[in-house]
Amino acid sequence: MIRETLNAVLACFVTFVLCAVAYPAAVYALGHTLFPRQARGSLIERDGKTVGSELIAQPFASDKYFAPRPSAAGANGYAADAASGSNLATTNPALRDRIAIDSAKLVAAKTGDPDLKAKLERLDALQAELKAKSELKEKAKADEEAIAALEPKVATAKDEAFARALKLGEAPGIAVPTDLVTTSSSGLDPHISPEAADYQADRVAAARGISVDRVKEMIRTHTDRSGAILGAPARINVLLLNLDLDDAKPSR
Amino acid sequence: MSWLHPFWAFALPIAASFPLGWLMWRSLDVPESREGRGLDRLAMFFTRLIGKRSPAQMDWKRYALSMLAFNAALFVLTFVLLFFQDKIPFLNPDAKGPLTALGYKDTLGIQHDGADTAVIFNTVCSFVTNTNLQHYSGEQHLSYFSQLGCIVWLMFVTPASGLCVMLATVRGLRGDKNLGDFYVDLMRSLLYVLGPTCLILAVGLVGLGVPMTFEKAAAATTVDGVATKMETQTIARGPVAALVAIKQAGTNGGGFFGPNSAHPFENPSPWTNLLSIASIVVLPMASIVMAGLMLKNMKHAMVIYGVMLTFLVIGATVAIVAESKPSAAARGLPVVQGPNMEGKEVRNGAVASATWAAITTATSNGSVNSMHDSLNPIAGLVPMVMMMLNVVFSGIGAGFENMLMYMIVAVFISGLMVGRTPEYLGKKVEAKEVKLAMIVILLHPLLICCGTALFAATTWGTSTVANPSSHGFSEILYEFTSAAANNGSGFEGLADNNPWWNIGTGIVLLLGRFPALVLPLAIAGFLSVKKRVPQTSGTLRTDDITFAGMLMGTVLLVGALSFMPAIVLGPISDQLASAKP
Repeated sequence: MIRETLNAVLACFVTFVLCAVAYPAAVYALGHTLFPRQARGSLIERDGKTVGSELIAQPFASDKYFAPRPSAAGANGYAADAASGSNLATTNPALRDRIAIDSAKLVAAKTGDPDLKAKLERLDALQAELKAKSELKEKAKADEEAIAALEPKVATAKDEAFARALKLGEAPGIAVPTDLVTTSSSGLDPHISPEAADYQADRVAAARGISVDRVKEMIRTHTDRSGAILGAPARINVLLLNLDLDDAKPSR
Repeated sequence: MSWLHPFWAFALPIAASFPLGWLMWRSLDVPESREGRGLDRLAMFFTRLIGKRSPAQMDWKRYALSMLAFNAALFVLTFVLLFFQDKIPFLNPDAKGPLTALGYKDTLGIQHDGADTAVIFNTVCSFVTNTNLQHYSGEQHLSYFSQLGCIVWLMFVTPASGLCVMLATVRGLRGDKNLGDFYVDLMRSLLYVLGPTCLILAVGLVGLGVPMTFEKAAAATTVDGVATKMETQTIARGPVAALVAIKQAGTNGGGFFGPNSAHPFENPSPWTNLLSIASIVVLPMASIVMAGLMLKNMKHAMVIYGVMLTFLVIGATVAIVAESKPSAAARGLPVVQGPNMEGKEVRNGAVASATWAAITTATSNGSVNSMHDSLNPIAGLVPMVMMMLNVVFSGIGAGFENMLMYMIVAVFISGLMVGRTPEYLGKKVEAKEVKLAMIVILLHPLLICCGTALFAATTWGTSTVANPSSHGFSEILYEFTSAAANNGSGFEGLADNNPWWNIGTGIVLLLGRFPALVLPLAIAGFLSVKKRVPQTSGTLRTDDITFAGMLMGTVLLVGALSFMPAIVLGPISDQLASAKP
């Protein structure tokens, strides 16, 4: 028994040195010598500053930039130290609501339809009011009644806005590419599909004052088709494309 | 929909499994005449370092005892290392605090800070059992030292333990009295199989973009910082490649980052994706080939291989077809009705994600490249079924052990049908063996169904699910299935980092692992000392298509009877709910 215990403990030390010291050290030495850039995280530098990693999505909100996919990492998304997906089930009403609102907003921006915009604003206002009421610590009777009155109003506003968006979406080129309204599993997906890039091309071109053809040409040159033989989808790295746009024609 | 990815994902590991199986046989099953000669000298050197002058001749009891003693020592040491994570002064550039600082919400939703030692218990159980169920999030809660000194270490020695037990089992089945020495087998497994495979894989992964650094997280100044109100982005990184390689090759599956191989640093391109998926399944496949070579009965091994592969191909196909359908959540919205992309990465797409979901759960790997919680219901059913069967290649070594139990039962049932004493590999199978086999087979559904029932009926489960109705039930069912099958993937919406989940699944993990290793070894030990009966025309053959059918039937029958009610309450009713207009 003592012998058995001694063997086990000594085996722990020997395997620890082999597996947790020698092996990582060898990988580190070889990796750093052969592939120093990748080993440090494929970071991108501009003017001596690290602006991000080629492999990690970062947020873009201005019209002049292509937007990445929505992110569920961290409280506000794109937290590269707290990667996470939404984990929402396809049958979860919360997922449906999120996709409905996001797609309606994209459709409103794409078409500039004043009716849909008005409906979305009304929905926003109602939802904000409902949220404020339901977050009250101590609800008076009047508040409870107000909440009860607001809920059907929000539902109707949703139905109206979504119906309008769906109607507009029937026109060609208006329906939103799936990847633009779904969160990725890491929340840090650096890519979008070529369709999702094309969808945003006219907005980016308008904001930058360059021709849509020029932007589409840049999308083509940035379309990564490597791995097609493995069945990999074509994809576009959002950060690299946006940096290239800035280099091509500084918009300030 | 392109079938190119699944083609490569199957063709590559199948092609590699045969030469690898041969290499494993040559380096692991060393006859006494070659012991300590040539390359084997290295293994003998390390065995001497642990205080053994020469290899012992072990019977099944001593072999099992050595394995259990080693695993117990691992348990204690890693528990201590993880407990004192914040006290270890090096390899912690981001100053990660103690693992217990996570805190948890109780069933009433009240937050308790820094009081949950159970997460360490769960993590150690999970990694000692080769499961890698993670209730923490790697990049947020573990120091680089813990990632290497606890996680990577266990990722090497636990699949090696499984492989050793399988070696001893097969030796017993072929009639050896001496089942070998556990520690010699352990050193050989590490030095000749897992070590070289992972070293090559890891360096390749670095070349393809996986980080391998000891620098702290990078701080990036974002390009559109003003408009997005996020001017700096903290990019977690670390010694990722070393961990990812053994995570895949050792049927481990615990990620360096929370989202595992969906994270672009763990799996940055289609090339790493293929490399990863091939290395997930190649060693479990190769170990079946090795068993055939050891038994000098390749036809029997091919029957096992074929049965496993058939299950896997069916599972992957169902998952791919189901997942290429649009998500129910996007129906009737102004969205292009393409494959379900919620919880998936663009570079992988739906097909590669579904293929991975099937393969990672069939083998007891459990790394994920998409969020299984967000899969379409039928695609989410496939991983559960794979883990419930638990014999589709499964863990390195453990897969053969599990299948052996079904083979014992299959020859027993066949024997009853034709009215002959059942035999397996020329040895009579009697009441004692069948009883032990049934214990192992029935323990699996018992752990899953009892655990799920308990948690689904109480606030332990209901207060922690993230999605409503039957999908919430699926989350609980998946968690227990994954724990019992020593898989480690999850429907990760579940808020599982709290004492009751940590302790509950921790116990299931241990009971899912060690009985399923020790009892088959015992059966092999009993069979090894029996007299060999001569083969006659009346002997039930175990190397033909009839036996393959019998084996598949046994596996499916036990699986269907045990799990059908749970599956109907979970994914099936989820599918029915999502099919309504």
